[in-house]
Amino acid sequence: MKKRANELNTELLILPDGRILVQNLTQPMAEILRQLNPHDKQIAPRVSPRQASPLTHQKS
Amino acid sequence: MSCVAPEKISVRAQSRPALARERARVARELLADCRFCAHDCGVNRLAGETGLCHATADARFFLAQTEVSDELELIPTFAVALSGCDLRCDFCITGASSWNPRAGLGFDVATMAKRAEAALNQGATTIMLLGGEPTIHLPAALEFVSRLPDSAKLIWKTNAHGSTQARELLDGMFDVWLADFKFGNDVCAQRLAKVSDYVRVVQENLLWANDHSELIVRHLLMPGHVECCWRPVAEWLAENLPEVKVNLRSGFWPAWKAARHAELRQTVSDLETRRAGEIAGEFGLNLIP
Ligand code: SF4
Repeated sequence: MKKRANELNTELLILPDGRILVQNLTQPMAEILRQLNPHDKQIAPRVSPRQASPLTHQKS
Repeated sequence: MSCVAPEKISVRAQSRPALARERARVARELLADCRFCAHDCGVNRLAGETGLCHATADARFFLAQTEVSDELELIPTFAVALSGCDLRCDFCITGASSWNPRAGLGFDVATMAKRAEAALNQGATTIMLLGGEPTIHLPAALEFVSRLPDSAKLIWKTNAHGSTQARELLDGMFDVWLADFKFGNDVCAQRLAKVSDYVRVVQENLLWANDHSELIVRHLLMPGHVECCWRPVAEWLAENLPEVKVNLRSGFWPAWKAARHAELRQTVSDLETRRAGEIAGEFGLNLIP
């Protein structure tokens, strides 16, 4: 699929054990992930940056 | 008596945009004999020749958006990813665009600078230039900096495989160097990224970056590479950059051509993540989220 210049892109990899790896996380997607799992401590600081610990993800 | 380490002071006779403009002009001329990275190709990119990165004189980008996936102290960041790279990491998560400098769209610095400023006005706290590898597009990177406000906090996200020449051109241009130290030995570097003399070049870049800007070192844990890659990286950092901020990332994603290597066909196990954390503790590293 062709991407447009102003489109927002986040990629997710859902592992068999339920963990989700995220690449290029945007704030709207961080908000969606928080709604899916409000108790996940790793996502909260990404929704409202500068508060807590990291989300597992890779950008090489 | 306690002693406070002096802050790193960057003295600039000119504003950053003005200096960047001059450096961009020099960098563009240097494309005629490209030696921006440690591959030291010496090709004339202005005449259409290409070196190991396959990049021409024109930069393209494959992503530009505000993101929150980087280090907490840097987000939200407006991230601009330039196409093409001088390394060939088989596990690169953006391999299709990072290995292909013709991927994406033309990088118009004026338009992108406007987008970056708009992002800052909408809450982004930093602007990050990455790739691929931005070093291979130094003229465009510096032209971009010349269009950005002097007060903006700029991040140079790099594979730390640049040359002395590139570092001289970059001196004083970016507030933070966010640099990868991917492989702890040259055998893994050669096998997984087809690069020789990797460790020496990266160490040279990290020491320089630590002296000339704020430095954050990243290491992406790879399955099966905790002892051969992470341990020596951790040990070297502890000995040579003991205070440096380190981001140890455990979310390896078997992407692109990772399947060429049996050990890279999976994610990092919990056991490996725990072991890597223990190694960081053993060496007293300054881990940041
Ligand atoms: S940027 Fe590096 S790989 Fe590309 S042509 Fe220049 S020296 Fe060669």
